[in-house]
Amino acid sequence: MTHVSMKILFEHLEVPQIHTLSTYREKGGYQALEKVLKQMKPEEVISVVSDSGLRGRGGAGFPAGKKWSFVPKDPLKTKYLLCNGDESEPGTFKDRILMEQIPHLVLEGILIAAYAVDCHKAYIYVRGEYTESIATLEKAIEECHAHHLLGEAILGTKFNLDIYVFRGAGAYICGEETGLISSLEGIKGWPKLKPPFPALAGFNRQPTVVNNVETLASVPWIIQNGAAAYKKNGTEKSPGTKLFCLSGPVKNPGTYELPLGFPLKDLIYEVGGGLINNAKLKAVIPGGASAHVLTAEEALKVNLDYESLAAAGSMLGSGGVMVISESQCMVDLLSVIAHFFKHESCGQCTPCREGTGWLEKIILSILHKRGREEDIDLILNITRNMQGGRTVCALADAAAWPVESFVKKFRSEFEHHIKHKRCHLNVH
Amino acid sequence: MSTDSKEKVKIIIDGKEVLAPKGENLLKVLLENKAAVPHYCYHPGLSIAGACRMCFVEVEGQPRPLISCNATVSEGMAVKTTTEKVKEIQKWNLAFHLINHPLDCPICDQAGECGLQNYYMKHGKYNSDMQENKVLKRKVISIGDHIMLDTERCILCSRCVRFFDEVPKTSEMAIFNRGDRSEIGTFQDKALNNNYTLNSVDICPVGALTSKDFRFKKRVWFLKDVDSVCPGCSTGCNVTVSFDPIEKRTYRMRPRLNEEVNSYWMCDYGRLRYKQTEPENRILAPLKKVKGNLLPIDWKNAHTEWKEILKESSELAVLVTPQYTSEELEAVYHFFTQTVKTQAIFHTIEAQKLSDAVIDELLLRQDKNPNSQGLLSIAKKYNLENQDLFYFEQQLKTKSWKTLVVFAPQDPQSIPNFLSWLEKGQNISKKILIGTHISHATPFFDLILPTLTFVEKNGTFVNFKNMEQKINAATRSVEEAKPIAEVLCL
Repeated sequence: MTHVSMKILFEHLEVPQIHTLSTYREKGGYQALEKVLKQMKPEEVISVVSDSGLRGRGGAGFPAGKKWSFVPKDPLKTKYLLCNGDESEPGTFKDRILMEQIPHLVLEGILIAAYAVDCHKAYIYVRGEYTESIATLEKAIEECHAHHLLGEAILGTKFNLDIYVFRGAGAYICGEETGLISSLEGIKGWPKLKPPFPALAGFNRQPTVVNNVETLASVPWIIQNGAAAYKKNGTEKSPGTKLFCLSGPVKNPGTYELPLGFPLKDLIYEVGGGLINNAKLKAVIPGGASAHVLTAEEALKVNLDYESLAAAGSMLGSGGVMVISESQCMVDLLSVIAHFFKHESCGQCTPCREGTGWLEKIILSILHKRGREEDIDLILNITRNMQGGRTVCALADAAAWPVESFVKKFRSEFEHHIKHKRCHLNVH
Repeated sequence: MSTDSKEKVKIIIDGKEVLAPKGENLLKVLLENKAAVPHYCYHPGLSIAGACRMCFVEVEGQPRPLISCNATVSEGMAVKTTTEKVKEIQKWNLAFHLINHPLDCPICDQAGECGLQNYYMKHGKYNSDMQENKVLKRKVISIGDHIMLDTERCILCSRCVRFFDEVPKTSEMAIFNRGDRSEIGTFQDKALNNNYTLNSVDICPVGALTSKDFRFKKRVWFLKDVDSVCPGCSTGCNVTVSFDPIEKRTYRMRPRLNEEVNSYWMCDYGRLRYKQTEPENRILAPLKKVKGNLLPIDWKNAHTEWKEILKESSELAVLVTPQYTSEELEAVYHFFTQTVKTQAIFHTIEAQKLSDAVIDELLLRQDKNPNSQGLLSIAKKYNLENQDLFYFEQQLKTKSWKTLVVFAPQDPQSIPNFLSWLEKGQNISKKILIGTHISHATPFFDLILPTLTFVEKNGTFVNFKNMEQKINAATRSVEEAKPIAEVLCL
């Protein structure tokens, strides 16, 4: 590997027994918490995190410190911190590593964030399928309670916090922050109308912060080492490191911690070892299934940070990098993605509920030799009318973007299917 | 909350300046100012869902169009409701609503008053792009005594779900499943079990929820509406009576907004009261008892009989029920006290039922008469307000009345034991019934004179709060029934 970068989240990943409290503490764990509780005011914590430039790692990339600063300072209000561990963006498998292998890093992050926003009750919403994550988190929480790291008078200070693990039921939409809140409230996991925003009226109508697992897990290091040290990694506008989940026909798929701004080309060819059988790269989905697909040409030029990917017409998203080789049919691939979003649309609002189903049907028609010439423009019309604030939440946008970009960038493959009633790869 | 108390601010709607209460729902204000913003899920009596995405408008200074149902009025806001962008959104959102709709308008009761049909004319894409198979869902599901559900027609606006959550608070309906498989329903198709179910049919913007009472009876474009008041109890819910002017028949009754009385709602019991006005339930002609049988006679003979009775009878008692309008009751009291010169006018009001109590904690009251307060105030004028049934029973023991004139309830369910109670007066030799309902036409009476029901006359009902409310004549369902003035030969 030519790029040797600093490990912030995965610093101690390889340490045996790091999931236990004792090993975690031996490696310096909970020192950041102690520093925060004993030496810092909540505003100071928020300002260090703001200065570090840490941005939300769940997909939207909203500055974490700013999100915390929106929470009202009113001491009479109950505030909630919700840790979003519903990791369900296709192609993403990073939060589970943190939850399963370094659970105390996540808990320490939650503790610090809770102190910063004056919250005394936090929930970790974990995707239902992640039974291992749930078990390790619960074990870790138990350990914390036994060692005065949770509950009342944490580390002998006046700060109290309880953390509860909540098991979701595996719905993609419950990873959307207000969908998550609905689900946690015990009602159907439907996203809520905004305004009001969760920072003012979220869980149980109280001020609520929802942060991704990876975002919170970055916090202890930032506290310990300072904002300036964190900013030494990554780019000016996208500081720090990020976990990237590399999948597809590459030699070394897996989750890698890399500084933001890392070239996508190097992730695929150096970190990932290139494509299996040295196949030719056709396309890359850089930020989970909902991101716009990049052609090989675009992918080889782009760097993995918020701004570069936005400039390339896509997004960093959750960091789920999916590699597509020349031997894969884009129509077939898109039908799988379209099916996913149709299956996961909550059905609350019309453009998404109807649009996701309609798109899947048209794509399947094209795949199954029933495609019509006008279907391509129809697909683009439908996707255009699903996105840009037409719906309650961003699932419709997330569903529209891959469809739109696949059809626009690989139009000839779709046209071939329609015209010749078969795939140009002769695989169907 | 009354909006009058809110501070008014200037806003601009499509270039026109208007005053609107600060913080008020923007869509509500737009609709009140005649901006025809399409909407399905918004209902002024329910919480905001933001689900249908039809009510997009452009607000100056906002980067993109927003749904007006989830926006509030602020000083100086400039709203545009008909820009090209807004029209494009409406067109496509309507298309999204329609792609899986069965388009079975020819057999759908909602046709003619359907949100999809109405907006289609104005905002439709006309040439549908939908060439794929539609999602099929369950149809013709009975979900209660009064309601049929067709989940395929449903556009999932969630109005019914919110209604049962928020108004009767029974929370019986929900949306099941996800995405385009979402379906409205009750858990395991259990029957809706409350007295307000038919409101869900009113607020359903499409033909998903239909009334078992109304379905397949009449195309709505044959119906005319008049404003009236429900005669079912002393709440006096404001209603719209729909009737067929050619057939001269009433087909349905629906609530009409009155914030002071019933808001947007009414109960199922009250709503079905109109059925008592149908000819099948009515006394169709004057009837005279001949050898123990009631035989129809014409009005000329009936009036001769009536006048004979009045002439002969020196000892006459009258029993009135609070089911008549104040105007009719005034005429009755005036006629019998001044012309017939009797003070023996009794009423059926039971004081303990006049209490404020509602039976179902929403609208239906114990006192199932529409005009108890009206009757009481008129009786008071004649100093006869204390002559109630108890008093009548006492008097029966001592007085030797020869004639009893009964103004029967128009709705037998309002005083269910009325006839059996009257048995107490069987020793009175001549008994005359003035009424409307067929169940009261028994040979117990010597003469029966048919009069009008609430859909056939104008007048006033005074509700439990002493609010005078007008009823208006819709249609004369029974040709031979006559107004009280004509019955009494005033």
